[in-house]
Amino acid sequence: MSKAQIQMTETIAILIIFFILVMFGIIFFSQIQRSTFEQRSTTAAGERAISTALRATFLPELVCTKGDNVEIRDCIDVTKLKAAAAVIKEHEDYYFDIFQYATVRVEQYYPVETTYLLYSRTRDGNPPNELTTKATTPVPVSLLDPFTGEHYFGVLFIEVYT
Amino acid sequence: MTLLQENIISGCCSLKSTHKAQMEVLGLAIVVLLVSLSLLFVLQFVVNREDEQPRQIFTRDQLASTMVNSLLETTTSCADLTMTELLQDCAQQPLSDADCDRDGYTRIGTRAESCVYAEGITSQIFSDTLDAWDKKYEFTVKYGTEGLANIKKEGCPSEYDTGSALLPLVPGGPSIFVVLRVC
Repeated sequence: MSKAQIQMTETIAILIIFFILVMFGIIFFSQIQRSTFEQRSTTAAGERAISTALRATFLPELVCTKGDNVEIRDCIDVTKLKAAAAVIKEHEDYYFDIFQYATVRVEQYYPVETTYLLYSRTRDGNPPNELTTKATTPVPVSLLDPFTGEHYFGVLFIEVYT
Repeated sequence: MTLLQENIISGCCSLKSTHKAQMEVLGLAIVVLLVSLSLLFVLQFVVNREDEQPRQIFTRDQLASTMVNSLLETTTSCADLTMTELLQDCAQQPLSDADCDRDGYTRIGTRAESCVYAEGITSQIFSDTLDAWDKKYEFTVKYGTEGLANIKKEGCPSEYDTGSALLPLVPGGPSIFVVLRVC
């Protein structure tokens, strides 16, 4: 093999190594960019889920009160809950400002299992399915029946669609 | 030796040493390439490692406390007593007087009915919620040094959030300590 051929082979090898390194660099940084973007959008959705959960937990339309309208913590009035579902449906645009794209429902687990759907709105307008990306925040609550004075155990679910 | 022969020998050796140097450079380049690749590999794992999101922290944090509060408020099927009253009755054993199944007896085996019912209802609620959400937890109820209830799923050896409540029983005496640790 002549000297010129060896030099050419060397140049080609260096170029191949250079391009491999450049390729790996591009792949690596594109992945960093993508993961950063995904992380940001997940964090944003999570923060929105927290604020929506807090708004739903302290919604005057739902919370139990005693005496002179003093709110009881972690408690939802069942009679208000039943009435609120209809009111929210009638004034969906008003509640969209509060919940945005989300589903808010209350599931009673004890003594009997019951589900109360309060609000649901997805980005595409279709009912949510298993593939709909969402951030779910469960908040255990006490469900008060003011007529009997009994407390049931339930969970307020806030599913925010990303 | 003629001049021609000397030239041929020196040319051959210089060519050999150049070739050797080139091979060394190539070897070095391969080593650099391998090191770079391994660095990229390690960095990728470091960058892609998922930190706990604020929502997950919030959920775990509020879950333990709201779960305990809501659980203790719950009216049970045992003589319409709340879970708090059931645990207070349980702590008074052997003087417990809650007859949950209305059979005239206040004990099931060696335990007070209120203790058995309180543990059963709590287990039922946890299996519908924490178990269904695949959460690890540890729930304990203690009166002084006496353990009244202990329900756990895998336990919490290190990082956890706590929801707790103190239920008074006798003025001046120890309180019932209810603790839920969610990992």
